[in-house]
Amino acid sequence: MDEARESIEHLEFEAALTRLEEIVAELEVGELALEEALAKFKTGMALKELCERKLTEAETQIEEYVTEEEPGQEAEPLFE
Amino acid sequence: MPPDTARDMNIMQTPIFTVSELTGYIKTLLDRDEVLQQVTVRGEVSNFTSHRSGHLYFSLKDQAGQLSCVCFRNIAQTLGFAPEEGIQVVAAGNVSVYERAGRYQLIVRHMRPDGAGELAARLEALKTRLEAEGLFDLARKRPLPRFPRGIGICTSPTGAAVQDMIRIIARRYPLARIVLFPTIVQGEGAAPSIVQSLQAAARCEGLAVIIVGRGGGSLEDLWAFNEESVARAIFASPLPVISAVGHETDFTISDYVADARAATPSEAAELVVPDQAELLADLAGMTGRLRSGVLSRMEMAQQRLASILRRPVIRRPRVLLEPRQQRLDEAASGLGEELAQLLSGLSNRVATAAATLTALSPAGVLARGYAICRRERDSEVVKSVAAVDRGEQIRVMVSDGDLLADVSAIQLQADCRG
Repeated sequence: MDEARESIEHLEFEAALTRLEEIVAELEVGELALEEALAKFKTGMALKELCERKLTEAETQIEEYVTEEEPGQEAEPLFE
Repeated sequence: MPPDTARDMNIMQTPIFTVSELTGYIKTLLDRDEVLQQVTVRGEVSNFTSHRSGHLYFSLKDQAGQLSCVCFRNIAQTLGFAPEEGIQVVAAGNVSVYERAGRYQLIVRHMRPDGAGELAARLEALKTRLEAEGLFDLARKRPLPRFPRGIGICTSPTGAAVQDMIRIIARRYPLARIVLFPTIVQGEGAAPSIVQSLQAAARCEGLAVIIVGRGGGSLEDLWAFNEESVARAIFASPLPVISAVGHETDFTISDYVADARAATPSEAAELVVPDQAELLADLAGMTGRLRSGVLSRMEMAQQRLASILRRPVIRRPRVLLEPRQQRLDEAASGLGEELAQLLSGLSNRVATAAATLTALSPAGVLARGYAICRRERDSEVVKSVAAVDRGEQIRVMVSDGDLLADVSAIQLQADCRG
């Protein structure tokens, strides 16, 4: 379980969500061995929490592109 | 004085201007006139010349009149369409005098093709050409990324459109990174600026999708999005492009070329990212799906276990023994019978033997009336008449006692003699 948690912690949101969807599908098909199903359930729950955490803790990063032609132009914090 | 002379005298009495003074005076008059400073006129383009300098010279005419016009390069670049001989236009500007030619003219500040028909026809022509080239092919439209990490926005850095998009994206999907490419979207230099922004966005690292657009406006305001150069830049973009030009009914060329089209910048912002609230709801639902998945798997295992436990061999392990016990019992009981039979057979035989034995015993013989006869002198059993003499004493043993007797006669049995 801890091992599973560690291996998913570095996942990006999309990868984590994709993995979670796969696990749910696998569990819903119901062909897994019992031990495997339990392990996947735990991983799935960890992935779900990770996704929620990433979503709720994220803050949109806004940048203004500075053109090469105008090196003097500074990126302005217009949108905060 | 002839009247002519009088008139000449009269003329000579007025001040005499130079040509430039008079022209200058007329110019002053026209420049002072408020109507002429801001005038809009409709007419057909004729004598059209596009000068090397970039200035456009032409006349506007109708059935009865003609008006000289000039459109300087800086304005000409922002027109959003290429004027040409014979088309109907609406031109706006101020009327002034070109002193060198002694000619009044309209200095065009703005111009558009006149009438929806004209504009639509020109648009249609471009559309047909680009479509034939395959720029609108549905097959080449790329899917938008489901969870874009980086979003390039090519639009004006000021105005409501950009603020709306940023607000909506940030609210819906805070994981996104937004890079704004400040772009001129209207008037002078709009098309080249849009092209430049699209190219810059394509080079920018970490972007997954580009939104190009602007808020709503008049047909002329949106005209840059009908430019061929913009269409080609969208087509050439290595990243999927969402066209987001604020207009309700008409499509711009950009809309046709782009991978996805939104009717407004806000709609593009909703299109480009998933909704956090929906994602969180989905994620909340995942718990249930994971649980029921694993529970049903466990239930399945339990049912299997239960059905195994219900089997007789597990529930009453004795049943394993019972058939053997029975066989043993059966075997044992069979054994008893056989033994009894054997025994009874034996005992019968014993009884028979005993009876026989009894019958054969001397006592039994005696009981049946036989007698044993012995010589008195030596107790020898008399088996033959020759064993005794006449007058000899003999002892006759019967079943219940002895008889002492004297032999009075000896008779030899006839059979025995034989």
